[in-house]
Amino acid sequence: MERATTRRRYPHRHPCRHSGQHRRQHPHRHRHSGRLAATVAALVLAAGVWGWAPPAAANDEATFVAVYNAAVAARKAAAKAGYEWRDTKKLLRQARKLAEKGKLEEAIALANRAKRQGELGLMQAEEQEAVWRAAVVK
Amino acid sequence: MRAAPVVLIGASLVLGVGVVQSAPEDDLRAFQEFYKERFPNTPFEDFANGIYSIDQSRREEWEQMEEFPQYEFDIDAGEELFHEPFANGKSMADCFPDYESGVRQNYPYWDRELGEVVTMEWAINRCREEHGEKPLKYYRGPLAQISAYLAYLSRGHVIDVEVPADDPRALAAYEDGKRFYYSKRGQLNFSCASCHVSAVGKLLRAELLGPAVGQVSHFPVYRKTWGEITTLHRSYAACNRQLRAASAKPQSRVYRNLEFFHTYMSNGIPLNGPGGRH
Repeated sequence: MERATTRRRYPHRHPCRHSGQHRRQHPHRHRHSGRLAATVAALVLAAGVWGWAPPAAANDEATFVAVYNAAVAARKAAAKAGYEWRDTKKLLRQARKLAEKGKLEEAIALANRAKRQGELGLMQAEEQEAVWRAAVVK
Repeated sequence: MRAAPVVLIGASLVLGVGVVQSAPEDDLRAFQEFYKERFPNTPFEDFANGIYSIDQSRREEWEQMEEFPQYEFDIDAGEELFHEPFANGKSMADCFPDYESGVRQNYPYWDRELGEVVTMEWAINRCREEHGEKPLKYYRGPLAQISAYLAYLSRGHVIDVEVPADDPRALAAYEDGKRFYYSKRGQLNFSCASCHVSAVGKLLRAELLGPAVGQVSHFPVYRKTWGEITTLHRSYAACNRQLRAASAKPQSRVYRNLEFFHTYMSNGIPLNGPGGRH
C-alpha cells in the first residue's frame, strides 16, 4: 500500500527499484535521454530562428571586430533603403559596451543579431518593392 | 508571327493593361468607397472623428472628454505664440495673412518653386527661419500649440488637397507617400495599411484600429497617454516604432510625402482639429 502511495505522489520517478549499472542499462532509460535531446534540439532551433550563431572563436577580439563591422554595414544598407529596424542600433551599442567590458562571447552574439536584422531589413526592402502595389485598395 | 507580340504590347498600352500606376483620383475613389462599404452606418463626414465614428461606447466617453477638452490651454498658448513679435518686429501673422479665416485646409500642398510638399508645421518653421528665428521642435510644445491654434481657426473647412497633374514631381511625391503607406516594414512586418485598411475596426489588444479616411483631420491631437498636444509626424514615428521599424525624422521628405498621400485620401472630410484622444 505504501509503495502505491509513493508512486502516485512522484509519478515522474521511474517505477523500477534497480540501482547502479543495471539502472543505467535499463531499457526505459532512453525516455529521459530522448527528452534531453529534444530540448537541446529545440534550443538550437530557437537560436537559429533568433539569428544567433555560436561564435567560432569566443573571446576573440578579431572575430568581434569583423562581425561588428559587418553588422554596421548591414544596418547602413537597410537604412539607405528606408527599412532599418528599430532595435538594430541599440543592439550594436550594447554589443560595443559588452566588448569594452571584455564579454566578447556575448558581444559577438549581439553583433550577429544586429547583422541579421540589417540583412533582413534589406531583404524586406527588396521584397516590398516588388509586392506593395498588390496591397493598394482598388 | 513576329508582329504578334508587338501588336499585343501596343494593344495593352492603348487599353492600359499592365500599367501599374493608378491615377490619384482613382485611388481616392477606391479608398473612400472601401470605408463606406466597410462602415455603412457611418456618415462620410463623421470619419473626421476617427475611431469614435465607428464605436458608440468609445464615442460616448470621448464626447464627455470633449466637454472640457484638454487642448484648450494649448489653443490659448498657441494664439499668444502666434502673435508674439519676432526680433525684427514682424510676427507669424505676416506669413499667414489669412489666418483668421483658416489656413490649415491649404496644407499640405505641392510647392512648384521648392519642388517639395509643404506641410503646416514645416511652413511655421520656415516662416520663423525667414525672419531670423530659430526653428521649433516638431513633435510637441510651442510648434504643436501654434499648429493647434491654426487648426482651431480652420475648423469646418473641407480637406481638398490637389496633386497637380501637370507636374510629374508632384505625382512622384504622391507615389512615394503611397508606397510608404502600403509597404510593410520593421521586425513585425506591418504597413500602415495592415492596421488601418486590412484590419480596420478590429482590436489590437485594447486598441481599436481606426479608419485611415479622416485620420488627419483632427491633428494636432492632445493624447492622454502622452499628456500633451502632439503633431501628426510624432504619431507617424510612434506607429513606425510600434512595428519595430526605425522612424524617419519629423518633417523629413519621407513623412511629408506620406502626409501628402494620407491627407489626399481624406479629401472631402471637414477639419475638426485640434482633437482629444486617449
